[in-house]
Amino acid sequence: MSATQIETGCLPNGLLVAVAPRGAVPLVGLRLGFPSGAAVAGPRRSGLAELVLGLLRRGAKGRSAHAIDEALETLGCDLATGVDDDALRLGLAVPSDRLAPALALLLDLATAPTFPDRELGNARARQLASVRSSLDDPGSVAERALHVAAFGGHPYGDPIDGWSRDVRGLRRPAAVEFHRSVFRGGGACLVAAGGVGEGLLRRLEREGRKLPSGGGEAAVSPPPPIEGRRVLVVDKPDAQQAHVRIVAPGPRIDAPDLVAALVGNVVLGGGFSSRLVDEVRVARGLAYGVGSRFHPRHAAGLFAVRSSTRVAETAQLVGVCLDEIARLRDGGPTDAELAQARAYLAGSFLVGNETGEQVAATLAASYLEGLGLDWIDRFPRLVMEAERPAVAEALQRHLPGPCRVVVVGPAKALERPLRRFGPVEVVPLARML
Amino acid sequence: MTRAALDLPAGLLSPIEARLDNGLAVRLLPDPGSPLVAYQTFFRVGSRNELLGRTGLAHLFEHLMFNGAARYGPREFDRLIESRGGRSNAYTSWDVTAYHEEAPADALDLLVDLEVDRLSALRLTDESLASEREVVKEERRQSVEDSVQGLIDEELQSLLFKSHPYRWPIIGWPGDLERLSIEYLRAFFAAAYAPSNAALWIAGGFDPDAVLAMIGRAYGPLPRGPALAEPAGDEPPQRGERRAEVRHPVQTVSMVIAFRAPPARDPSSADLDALQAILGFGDGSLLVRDLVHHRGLATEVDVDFAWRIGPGAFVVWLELPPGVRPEQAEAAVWPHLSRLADRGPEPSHLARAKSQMEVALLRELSTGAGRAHALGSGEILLGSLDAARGILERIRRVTPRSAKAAAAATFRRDAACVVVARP
Repeated sequence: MSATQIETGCLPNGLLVAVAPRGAVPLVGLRLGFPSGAAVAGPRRSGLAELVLGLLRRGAKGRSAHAIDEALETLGCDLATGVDDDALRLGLAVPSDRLAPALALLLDLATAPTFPDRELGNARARQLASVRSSLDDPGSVAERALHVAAFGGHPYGDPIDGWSRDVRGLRRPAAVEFHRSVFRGGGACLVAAGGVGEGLLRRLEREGRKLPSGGGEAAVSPPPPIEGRRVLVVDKPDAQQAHVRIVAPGPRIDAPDLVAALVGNVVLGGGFSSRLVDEVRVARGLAYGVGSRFHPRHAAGLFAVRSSTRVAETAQLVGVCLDEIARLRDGGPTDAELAQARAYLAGSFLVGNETGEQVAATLAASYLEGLGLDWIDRFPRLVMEAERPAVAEALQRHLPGPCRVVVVGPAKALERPLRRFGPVEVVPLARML
Repeated sequence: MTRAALDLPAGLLSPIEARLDNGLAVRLLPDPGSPLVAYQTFFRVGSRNELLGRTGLAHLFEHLMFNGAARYGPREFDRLIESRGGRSNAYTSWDVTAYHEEAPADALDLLVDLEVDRLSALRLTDESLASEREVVKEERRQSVEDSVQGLIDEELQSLLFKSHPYRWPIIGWPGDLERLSIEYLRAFFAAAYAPSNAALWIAGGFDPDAVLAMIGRAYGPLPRGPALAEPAGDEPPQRGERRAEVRHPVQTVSMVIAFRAPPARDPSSADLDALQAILGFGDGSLLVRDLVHHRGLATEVDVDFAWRIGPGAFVVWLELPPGVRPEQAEAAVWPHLSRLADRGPEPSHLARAKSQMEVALLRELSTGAGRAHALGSGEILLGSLDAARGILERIRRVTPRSAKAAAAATFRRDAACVVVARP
């Protein structure tokens, strides 16, 4: 594989701009990313980052929400936004010949939102309704619960769309202040990839100057470690299935053995021929889906196994997953498993970077995570170079041990069989609001 | 503001076509610079080919296709593909069962070998059937019994269709899964998975002449197989509004307002695609703008018109905020539908919808897998390869007048089906 062609520039406000050609289709993926996310919103402000991102298009630079909608849709675009604990992202996919107006609009939305009171009130009401609605889906409930189980009162323990009690209190000054502190050039990036033409870098530089300087990654202190094994049951009496998550802290984004851990996880629960799929789905027919993942972050990573099964088999599912975690942690992968995991991870990365949009997303994410723009070429190489001792060591270090087992389902049927895995705490569904 | 028409690279929508003597349709989309290959096999079989009492057959069978064949045994299919850096999956719809793989281009020979092995000598055992039946039951619990959307959709399809096989769920009724025996599955395999009932699409970095020769050698010996019987597709006219209610302990009330619509091959389906975008694509669409942002009568709006071989369905989905009654939300939807039926869309709304649809299509065509899927599913559902090649033109053909006619024929109060889910 030849190296990805990337043209870059850095502006006085700290913004990195980058352009990368990819593919023959006349479409460009644009990404504007900022190196702080939901974790810096402050105490009792969970959900604020999500609210602010959603409000960018509800009024900006003298334009109403309706005018912005019309402008975007005339271009054929939709604004994609994303927020996690450590970063914020805006994205557009736009035909190459419409790039100039789309880029100008994107920067207007990011730099000059007006946060009209009426729009803010409506958006807050929608966010509250959405949080409530998520309780109808056991999988979504499990996702809300797993973060608090793993990280407790640390900002990483808050759901991205927030706790209802916090969202209800979000007001315009908090939104304005969050926007002012995070949407700055320092540590941020503006990336275009796909059907890019001559002179695009200069255009990105011109538009990128609209961002004020300053900002940069705000430090988030690490959460306390977890000890022992405990079970959290979120009571959903009507559920036909129990949704299971097994979570623990994982490697940080800057961990030297990050790639080795990612390769090793494929053996456990990546892809469709992992040990977990073999043991849970193929051998026992317990679940439709099962997988495991490391989610590396700045202050602390997360390890999670995710699955769901009929309520009566929940303890069997949890037991099989814990056994497989321990077996891989203590015994390491075989040479054949390792070779397959390396090929799968490197190949999936290639498949996942076929289009301009995908490349723009990868470049922006790797820059914001401090991995460097060349990660797109380095990562598959590092994966293929991961040796068995290094992978075995990384798995020993990062697969839990101490963990939290989170189960969403009817507590009455679940509490007793789950006691064998540790002390069980049962909370009502409403606790996840 | 209007925009110039998009230009697509030459050949993007023009596959190399071939047909083997056994009837297998082969379609190649070579992209010489690509390091990847997308491999998709479409079988013209879905839940519409099932019988009452044996529902869920096509979907359960899709699961069994991954459980080993003569040369590559159980667990080998995914293991081998993943060991070459690829991934595979499949889906079953009302009309189609599709198997798809994406991998580095040098894995193409392996993909051919694996696919031919399972088509020529699939292992069907009582053990694998028993295990996959349990997996499918879990899938059903997850996607239907614990899902408001799943419960509503199941209720809706049986309200929209009285006679047509579309009335039962693709995943099947739970009791029927128990009735599917190995013998029944073997007979299904012989007819539904014959090469004469399939189309193979390959996109990506390869030499088309060499690949055509390889496909001929590998698939050529497979027997043609019996013709699959065309299912009965009669559906009596709807003689008035139909309503149903789903009682479920939900936090949020949801509802759908739906209408039967023409098959995808009907020219007016392009108009319904455009009406779908005008009503529900993006914050500026008619229903999202009015119900979500102006009046707060919905928190989510989704409008769906999925292409089908048989009669289609046009579905407006609403999620309601606390305190809003379904009757209020429904009353707010009707004026938009009636206005489209009476006057047609505003030209500016139609232009914006077309622009959005063109860009959405361009995004789909950006990957080899997207191109193969857009054209491969289009060939079956739109009725011909020519129609599939015209997927961009069908967007451009729509006029306010043609959209008005499609809206008038579809959005009729006496033809509505309404389902509400509430605690």
